[in-house]
Order: sequence, then C-alpha cells, then structure tokens
Amino acid sequence: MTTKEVISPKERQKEARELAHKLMLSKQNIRKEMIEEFKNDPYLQAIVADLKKQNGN
Amino acid sequence: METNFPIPPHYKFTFAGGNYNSYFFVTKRGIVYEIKFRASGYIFDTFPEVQDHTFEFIIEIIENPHGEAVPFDNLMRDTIAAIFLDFFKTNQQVVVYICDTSDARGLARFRKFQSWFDTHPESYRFGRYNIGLMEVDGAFFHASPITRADNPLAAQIMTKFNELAIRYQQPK
Repeated sequence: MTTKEVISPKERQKEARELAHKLMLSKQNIRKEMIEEFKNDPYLQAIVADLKKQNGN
Repeated sequence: METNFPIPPHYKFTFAGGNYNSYFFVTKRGIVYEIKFRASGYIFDTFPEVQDHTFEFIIEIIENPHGEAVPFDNLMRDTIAAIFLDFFKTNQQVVVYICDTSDARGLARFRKFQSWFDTHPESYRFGRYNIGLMEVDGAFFHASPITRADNPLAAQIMTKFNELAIRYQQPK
C-alpha cells in the first residue's frame, strides 16, 4: 500500500509564491554577480580583450 | 544545433567554457555583453527529468565605455539567436527568461526579446510560453520557459509552468 501526499491548494499557492520570489531574487542578484565576476577574473577579461582586438574596438 | 537557413550576420562571440556557461560579445560601439545560462534546477525541483537541464537566461552589459543609452543595433537579435542555437546542442535544455517589467524600460526589454524571438527565421524550432505578469514585493516580472520544439518533455514543461502561474494567481 502506498501513501500519496496530499498538498492543499493553499500550500501549493505558497510554494508558487516562494518560487516566484526565488526567481525574482535570483534575477536581481545575478546581474551584480556577473559584473563582479568579470571585474575580478583575468580569464574573462582576456576573452573580451581578444574579442575587442578582433573587432577593432 | 544544425540550421536549415544560413545564419544571418552577427557579432563574433566566445563561450567562456567551464562552469561559467557564459558567452561574450562586443558591439561595434564597444559595448560588452555577457549572456549567461545559469543552472537553475530549483525551478523544476519536482520534475527530476528536466532539473539538471534547466537554466536561467540573462543578458547583461558588462562594459559600456561611453556610458550612453544603448542605441538600436541591428546585429543584436541575430547575435542572441546565434548564441541560443549554439547553446541548445541537445533537445533537453530548458531556458527560462525572466524579465523585471516593473517599469517602462523593463517592459520594453521584454517586448524586444519577444520580438527578436518571434521574428527570427529559426524560431519555429523552439517553443516559448509566457506565463505573464507576477508580482513579488511590489516588483512585476514576466517569465518565459523556452525549449526546443523537439524536446519530448516540452508539453509537460509548459504545463508545469502554467500550473505555477495559475497557483500563483489564485486569490490570497
């Protein structure tokens, strides 16, 4: 015999709101992280320097 | 991903590799963009078949040497599309585009992305579903899951996202 977990509509809605919140926070944080990561990573800077050189920027 | 059409001209881009999942390109005005596909298994934590193949898609300006408002650039659409085609090497990936649409600029960004997607000659190879406006702490955003059209789980992925939106939008 198996037991099926029953989740109430209220609980499901709570889960949805938590996920939406996570998505939004992730979106807000990742932009700052990307800029910081680039500033502190010579490897990424070298990639961009090479692209600029090829573009003639 | 092989294409049926010649890929239109676009900016040269470089994949950073490793754990970065980032692509970089530089426009003719010297603006540096990073396109990141960030692993985001938490979005489908009850759907293990797609959990390891789910990524958030982010476009970020890393350098804007003149500090100017970003002008219209007719190569942007095709550069983003070429990066998408490069990233979707298999039919398993799920990419979620999230856009903060709290202000007019955010909404304009979202519409621009929709327009890029819908007008590209290769867009028929992908499925996109817009779950519409959600509000978190007073900020509004749209989220769009994108899969390859030949992803065998595409319909289930879109249904899961739709369920999320329906549950979210139920009265508090």
